[in-house]
Amino acid sequence: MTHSAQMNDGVFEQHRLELRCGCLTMAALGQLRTEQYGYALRQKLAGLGLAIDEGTLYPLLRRLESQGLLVSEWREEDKRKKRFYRLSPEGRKILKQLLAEWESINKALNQIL
Amino acid sequence: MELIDRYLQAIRFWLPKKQRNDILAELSEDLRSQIEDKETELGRKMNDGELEALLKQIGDPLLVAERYLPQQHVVGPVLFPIYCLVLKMFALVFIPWLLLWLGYTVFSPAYRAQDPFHQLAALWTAVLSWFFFVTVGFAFVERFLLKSWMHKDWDPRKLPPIKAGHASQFTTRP
Repeated sequence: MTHSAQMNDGVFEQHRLELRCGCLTMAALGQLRTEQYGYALRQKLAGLGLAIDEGTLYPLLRRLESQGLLVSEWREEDKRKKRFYRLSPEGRKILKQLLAEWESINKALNQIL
Repeated sequence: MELIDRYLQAIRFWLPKKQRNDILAELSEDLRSQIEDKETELGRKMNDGELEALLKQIGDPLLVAERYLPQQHVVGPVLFPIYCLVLKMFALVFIPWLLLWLGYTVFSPAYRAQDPFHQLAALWTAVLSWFFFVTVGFAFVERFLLKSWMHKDWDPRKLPPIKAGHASQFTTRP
């Protein structure tokens, strides 16, 4: 691979991550309208075409919980303790606002691109 | 599975104390599910090579742990340009001093006779302590004062006047 192609990949990767960041937040909030534990949430999202690795999802869930958008509790399932997350009423409000923002961005982008 | 334990232990080292057990319990539960799913798919136990590949894909323990930590700076991006400016100003003081020392050492035998390296060591100590105190000062501002400063409204009328000799460049349609 040439030097400039490598650099190009790095730049693309950086923009890709930035673009994904907000989308993953919305995806996680949306999917947690029904309660789930982390691994199941990852599988669900991957099945829908939005794979998210463990190193990204769990810190994100913790951040969202510390902001009061998610609530969580440790519970036993299949004889193993798992941490279940779900959307809080505050999270529901924020998700609705984010969706509106997302739609207006999308509408504008569709006209530009 | 000893490898997985070692991996989790390495992550644990960097995690914030209060959340350590909680984060590790969650992460190891995820790993357990991944391994079990993979083993069901393979119809056998995962071998050491496959476990290594899995851990490699998840990533360096420090980088995994780092994502759970709040972003912290000794001197953050807002203060950094000011910090650099102050260090440069100190450099401007110390460089002539260094040149002076060099000049005396080279051209004055009398100066050379009284242990000039002792002088250089003193200069070096001064440079290090200035660097140290400037950094500590900035770290203090970053940690305790920056937030309240950022919340203050800035006033456009307090901008410095145009430098002497520079004409106004900015116009709008008459």
